[in-house]
Amino acid sequence: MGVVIGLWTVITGSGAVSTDNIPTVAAVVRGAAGSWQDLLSSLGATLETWALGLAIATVAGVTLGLLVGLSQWADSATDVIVRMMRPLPSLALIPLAILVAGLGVKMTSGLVAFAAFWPVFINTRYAVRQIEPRLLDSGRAVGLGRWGLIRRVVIPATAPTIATGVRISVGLAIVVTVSVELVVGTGGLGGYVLAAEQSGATGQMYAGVVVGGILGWALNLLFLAAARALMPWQAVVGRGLG
Amino acid sequence: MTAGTLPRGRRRGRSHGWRRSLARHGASWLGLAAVLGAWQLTAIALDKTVFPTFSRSISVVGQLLTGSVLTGDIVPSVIRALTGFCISAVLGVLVGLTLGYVRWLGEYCSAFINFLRSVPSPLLIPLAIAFLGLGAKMVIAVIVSAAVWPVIINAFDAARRIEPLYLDVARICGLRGFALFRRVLLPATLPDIFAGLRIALSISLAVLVVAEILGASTGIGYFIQNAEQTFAVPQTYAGVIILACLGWLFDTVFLVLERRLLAWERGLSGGLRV
Amino acid sequence: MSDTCPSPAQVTAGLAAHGPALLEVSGLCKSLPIADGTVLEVSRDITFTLRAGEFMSIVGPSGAGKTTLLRTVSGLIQPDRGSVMHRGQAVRQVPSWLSIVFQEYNKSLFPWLTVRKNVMLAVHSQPKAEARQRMAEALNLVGLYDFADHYPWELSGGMQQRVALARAMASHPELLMMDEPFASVDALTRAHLENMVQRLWAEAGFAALLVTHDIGEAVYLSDRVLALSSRPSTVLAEILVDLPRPRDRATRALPRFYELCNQVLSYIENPEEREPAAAPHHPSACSPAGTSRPDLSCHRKVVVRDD
Repeated sequence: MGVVIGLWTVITGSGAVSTDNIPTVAAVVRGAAGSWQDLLSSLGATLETWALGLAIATVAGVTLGLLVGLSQWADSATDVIVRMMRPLPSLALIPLAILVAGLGVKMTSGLVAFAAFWPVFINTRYAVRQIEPRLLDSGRAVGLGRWGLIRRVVIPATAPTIATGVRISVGLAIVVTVSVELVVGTGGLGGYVLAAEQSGATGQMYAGVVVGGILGWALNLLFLAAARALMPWQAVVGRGLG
Repeated sequence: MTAGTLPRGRRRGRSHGWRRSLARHGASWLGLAAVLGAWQLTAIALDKTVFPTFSRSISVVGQLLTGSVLTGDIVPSVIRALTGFCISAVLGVLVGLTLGYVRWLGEYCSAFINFLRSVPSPLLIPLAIAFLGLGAKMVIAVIVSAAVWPVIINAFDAARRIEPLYLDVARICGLRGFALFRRVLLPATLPDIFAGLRIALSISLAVLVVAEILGASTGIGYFIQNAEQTFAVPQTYAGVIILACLGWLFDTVFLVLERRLLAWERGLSGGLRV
Repeated sequence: MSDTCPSPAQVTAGLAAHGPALLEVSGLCKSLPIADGTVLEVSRDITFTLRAGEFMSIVGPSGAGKTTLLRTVSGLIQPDRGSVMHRGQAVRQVPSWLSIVFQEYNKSLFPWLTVRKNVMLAVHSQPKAEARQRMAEALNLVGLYDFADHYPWELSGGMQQRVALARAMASHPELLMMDEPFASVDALTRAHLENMVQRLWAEAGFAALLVTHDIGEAVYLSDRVLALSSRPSTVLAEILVDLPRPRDRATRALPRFYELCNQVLSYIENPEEREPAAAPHHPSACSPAGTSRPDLSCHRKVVVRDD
């Protein structure tokens, strides 16, 4: 990382690139420092929307995923729906959401929830289908009833795959939140960066982007830590680079 | 030597499987029909302008597909998405495989790459606009900046985890350099790379929309946004439906291609496909 | 071809009939790093010579580091100490006249290539026509030419190993190394494959180095058997197998066969009892403290039938 910052300083310092487009590191820091209250409050707004949407999506996704996964016909019935919804870019629904639900936090969180729902739901459904049948047999042999089975076999066995789905949703939710903010033009990190771009304050703009990067990276780390704490038996390995 | 083949990759009981999968497909199309039916009925019941019926939306789709929208908006968007995807694919594979194979390089760059890919890609759009102005180039650049990551990550992972015995055999047979890359590295990592490519494809489409909304004057994204802002409600829905179908089309075509190219892989993994 | 055994003179003459030394290993030591950061000494002071046309087996308990030894001796990895010479030259990489057959056939055959293309990989540097010819020959040798267009996963385990053998044969090797090639294959197929290897060796005349944990297989196939101790492995004994060739099921019924097997077994089971003269605590050339080379001649015995 240090190398990159060093390189950046050198490139911008040497004047090879116009500082209008790529500001110096100092300019970025100045931009951030200058408007740090704005920056922080935007960050907060983004986080709020993100958290709300993600929470709804996770609860709904896991519950529905479990229900559908446990029932053969529900699983088949939802197959095509899942295949259609999977590649649907939820970002495309932004104008639709604005149309239907107006502007505001409810609309944003709603859309975030809708987008983040699918990875969690799909993964949960898949995980339930993939449970090693012998695990269920062992559970039944020990005398677990329906609820006991779900609580003590199904959930721990599916937890890692569900966790992967939630991880995808974490990133997806941020992307959707920021996108809505950009399109709508106000509030949150997206609004911050947009405003900076429109007023030509490139230092601030980059600062916003960097903060966005840090946010994404930090959320990912937090998630991995949480996963490791909740599922100590599983080596939840980040994808190689993680 | 009379030992015959023990066919492992062949499916047994063809007639039974065929009928069962037909039933399963039938059930899922029924599920979809149920959802669409619900849409239709709720729309009729609610009778709000912002919630048109499914039939109305579909008829507008028909209008759009036969009109100038097709060539003026849909085609340019598709071209942009696919261009961005292809660039991401090539770039991602080259970078990912190199970083994964050359250990020290991968370790060195991994922190930086980790940070870069955590940046929510829409946040880069104003940046791209500042650099490249509005239009197709900007859109493609944004798409690449978002879609390249799953490819890099998957290629990196796969190169790291390549079966060491393959590399041993390659050395024994005297394969080096580019021949090693083409005949061993690439085929061995291709299944994982394809999984990443599939994700990259859907990311390409998603980012395309947002980029066009913010910075283009043609394209599906622009069209949908425009329709929304002029309160052309059925058109908005129609646009989204077209987009959904495009997404589904891309994905299906991709899966078909993948099945063709990776026919050998199904035998290995027993055809485990999500 | 009865059960009269050759006299010692005949045996020694037979030994000399083998060609020049292809592989000379001297004082080889190898350690491997393991998960928790420490270093595991795998091989210590391995010394032997393999001549052209000879069939030699290396037998030892599991975990003795036989696979590591094979990889070091072939040139895939470098030894920590000691030397490995191929045809009198220090080894840098796997020479083109050396082929290896691994134990895990499903990981050594490339799954994205057909049987045909897998075998042709060994001769990829040859012109197309010549390569195709060799591929056909090799596949015919193992009797799998009809399956040339199948994928490896469509074949049974024994057949896949035969493909691996064909691939090794296609490059017309002078030295064929095999790392427990039949361990993952069922017993019936194993007997079949052992005979196939014997036939190929007799017809083509290459030198063979077989690593195995199956003593019977080692004695059945080889001219000489090296008995390895458990880790850190050293050569406990070199046993000459003077059974007549060609060998078949009848050979396994010979009393001499059992004798030899028991000899090998006794070396592996009780290394201290068998070698009172050789001090196991002799400072080896491999330990950091020891600087001098120990006298190796008392660590090995060439056992000839006492007539």
